[in-house]
Amino acid sequence: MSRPVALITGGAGGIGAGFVLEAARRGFIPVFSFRSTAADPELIRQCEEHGVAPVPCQADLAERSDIDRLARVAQDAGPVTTLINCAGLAARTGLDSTTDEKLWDLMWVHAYVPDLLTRRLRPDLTASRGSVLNVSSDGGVVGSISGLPYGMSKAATLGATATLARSLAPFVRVNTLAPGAVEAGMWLSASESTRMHVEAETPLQRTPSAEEVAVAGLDICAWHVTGQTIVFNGGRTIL
Amino acid sequence: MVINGTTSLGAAIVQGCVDRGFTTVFTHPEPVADHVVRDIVDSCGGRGSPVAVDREDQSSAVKAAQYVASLGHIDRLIYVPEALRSPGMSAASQELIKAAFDTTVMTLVNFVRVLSRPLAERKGSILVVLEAEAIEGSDAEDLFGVNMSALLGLSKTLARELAPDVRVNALVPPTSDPVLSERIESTRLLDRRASDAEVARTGLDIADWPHATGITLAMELPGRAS
Repeated sequence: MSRPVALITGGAGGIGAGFVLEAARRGFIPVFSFRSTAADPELIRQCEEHGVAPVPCQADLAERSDIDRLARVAQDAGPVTTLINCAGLAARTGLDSTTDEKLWDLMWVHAYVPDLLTRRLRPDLTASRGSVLNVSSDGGVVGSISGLPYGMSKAATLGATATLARSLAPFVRVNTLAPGAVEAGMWLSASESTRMHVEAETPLQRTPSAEEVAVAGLDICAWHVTGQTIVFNGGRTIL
Repeated sequence: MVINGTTSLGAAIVQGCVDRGFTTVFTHPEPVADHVVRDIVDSCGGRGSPVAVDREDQSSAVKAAQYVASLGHIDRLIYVPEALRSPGMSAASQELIKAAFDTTVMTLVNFVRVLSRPLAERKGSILVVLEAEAIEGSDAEDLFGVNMSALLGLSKTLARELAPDVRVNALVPPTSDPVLSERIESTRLLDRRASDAEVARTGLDIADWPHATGITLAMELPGRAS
């Protein structure tokens, strides 16, 4: 019997790479998309140490045709049981400085792509009683310090989760993980003052690694819950 | 340390702790049938040990906590309150209200008083298991609902007070209340309620996450997507 496939968008680096490695550790075949930066050979090697050959797939998720192609690559690799929508765009622009294009780009990647990809893989996920995890942000839950496009589009991710959870129940579980600052990706370029500010507001006074986020996310995928949003930010926002 | 390990969910959590490699101590109320305790101990293969607690005597809870503290170290404190539902507030005497408060709320407070320091030394975590009334309230059993809400507030406040050394999270499993359960049946998205083992796994996963504190996960409530 072939190994289950976990499709991870935005898997070349940051949190996405954490998901790729953790998925391999748990026995999945990780199929992951990357836009421009080629897959890190070290990531491939680490996956292979777990006896798994990951499947990188160059895809520009801004293109509808690439979304379909990515889904086909995953289906060809084996039974798709898990979808991690992790691809994201960074933006630090407020109401006055943002553009219509920026708003559209972030909404597309953070809200519409997870919805489209999930619906594209619905037969596979239904057959396997699978699970979808949308990676949002605590900024999508309580408003974002990164500005309007980011906060709005990450909030829309929560809406996509809730709607997909209803649409695909009882066969497919759909949940959101909403991390705060993570030692990866856009956080690494944050200013020292921003980092100090966030850390001072965080009860656990630390920033998690991408791997910690991935462990939590794949744990959630295994739970008997749907439509949930788990805020994972060291207690910075206690709801 | 699992408080009230002889409830159905408590036993599943004890088993889950043992499966994860923890040496597990669990409390059980006095009196409880011997075979209930024995079955749990047997299923743990020698890695679970019981401690009796008199639910009407808080000094008994303190002694149990001190016993656990004396074992050397503690990594997890998991509180499964007994589902001791009670009459509405208007029908309850002040003594009964106090007794329910002691049993439901003070038991956890007393365990935390004794064990917070040893938990901090190990960067450990606390999981508070609640009933759905903590969030939904209760028409008929407002005393129970109030105490559950107090525990929810306690978990969030402890998350702030004990940080950064101890993590504190709350889990609301599918309800055991028949009236609330009937309401949930009509709105449930998944085709069945989670089993005790699944609930235990969920709670223990959260308790393991090194960057999680102040989380409240309600696995299944009316009007929520789950």
